[in-house]
Amino acid sequence: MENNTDLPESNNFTPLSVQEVDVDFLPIVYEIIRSVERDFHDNSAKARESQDCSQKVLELQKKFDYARAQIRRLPGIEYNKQDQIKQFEVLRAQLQLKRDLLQKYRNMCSFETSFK
Amino acid sequence: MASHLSTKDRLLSLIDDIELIAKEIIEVSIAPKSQKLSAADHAQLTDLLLAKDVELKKTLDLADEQAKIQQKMNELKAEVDNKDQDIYHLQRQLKDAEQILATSLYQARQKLASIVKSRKRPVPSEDLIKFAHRISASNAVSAPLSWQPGDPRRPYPTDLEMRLGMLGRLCDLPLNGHTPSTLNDLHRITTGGATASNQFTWHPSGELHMSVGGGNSVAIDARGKDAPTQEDVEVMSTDSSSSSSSDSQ
Repeated sequence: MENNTDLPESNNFTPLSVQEVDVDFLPIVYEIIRSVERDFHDNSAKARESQDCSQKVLELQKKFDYARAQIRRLPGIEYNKQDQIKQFEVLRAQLQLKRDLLQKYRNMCSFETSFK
Repeated sequence: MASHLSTKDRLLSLIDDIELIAKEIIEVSIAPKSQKLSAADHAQLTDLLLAKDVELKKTLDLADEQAKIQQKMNELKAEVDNKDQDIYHLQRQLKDAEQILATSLYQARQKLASIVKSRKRPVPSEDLIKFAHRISASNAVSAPLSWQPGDPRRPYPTDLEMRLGMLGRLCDLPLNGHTPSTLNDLHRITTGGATASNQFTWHPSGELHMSVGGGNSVAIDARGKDAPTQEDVEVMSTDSSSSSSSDSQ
C-alpha cells in the first residue's frame, strides 16, 4: 500500500488532464459485494473467494489513494470557478491596461511636432 | 456543496465520501445477519453512493473546464509578462533619452547665454584681425627670423612682464615695496637707459605709467577689468615692448 502511494507522489508536479483521472470505483465495489454475498458450499472455494475479496478491497483502497494523488495534479482547480473567472478577468484587465500604456507611449507626439 | 470550497477540495471530499460509503456498504455486507441493515437502508446507501459518483463525475467536468480556463490564464500571464518586459525596456529607453536631452538642454542654455553675452558687447571682426596682427607684429608669438641672443625683441618675458606677473608680485610682498625700485633700476641698466626710448616706466607704487607728449605721465591701471578692449589695443600698438602691458592684464 505504501509503495503504491509513493508512485504518484514521485511525479506530483507534472500536470494531468481530467480524462486521465481514474474514478471508476463502482465496478470494484460491485464485485466485492457480489463475492461477499455469494454462497459457497466448498470450503476451499470459500477461502479462495475470501482471499480474492480482500485483494479487491486492497485494490479499491489503492484506487482511492491513486485518484486522490491524480486529483492533486490537476491544473487550475486551486480555486472554485467563480474565483477563477474573477482572477481571469483581473488578468485580462491588467493586460489591457498594459497594452493601452504601450499604445499611449507609441502614439506620444514626437519631439519635432512638439517644438513647432 | 459549499461554493467557497475550491474544486480540488470538493473532489477530494467527494472521494472521501465515496470511500466511506463503499466501506460502509462492504462492512454491512460482511456483517452477521443480525446486524445487517434493512433493504431500504441498503438501497439508500447505494443511492447515496451512486449520487456521489454522479457528483464526482460532474465536478470532474467542472475541473476540465477550469483546466481550460487555467490554460487561457497561463497564456494571458505569459502575455502580461511580455508586456511587462516591453514596458521595462521602454522605460529604460525613455530614461536614457531624458538624460541625453537634459545634457543637450544644459549645453544649449550655455550656448544661448554666450550668444546673449556676445550680442551685448559685439566686437567687429576687423578689430579682431587687427588685434591679432598687432600681437604677431610685436613678435609676441614667435621670434623674428633674424633673432640673435641679446636681441631685446620678443619672445621671452621682459622684466616688466615678470614684475607684473604673479612671481613679481610675490617678491613685492615680503620686502615692503623696496624690491620694485631695485628691479626698476636693474631694468634701466639692462635695457640701456630704456626710459628714453620706452614709453613705460615702473614706479614703486606698483602702477604703470605711460609717458605722453610733453613728458607728463599717465597712470594706467594694469589690474583694471573695466578698461575697454579698444583702448588696450591702441596702447599695445605703439611698439613691440608696449604690448607687454596689455598681455599681462
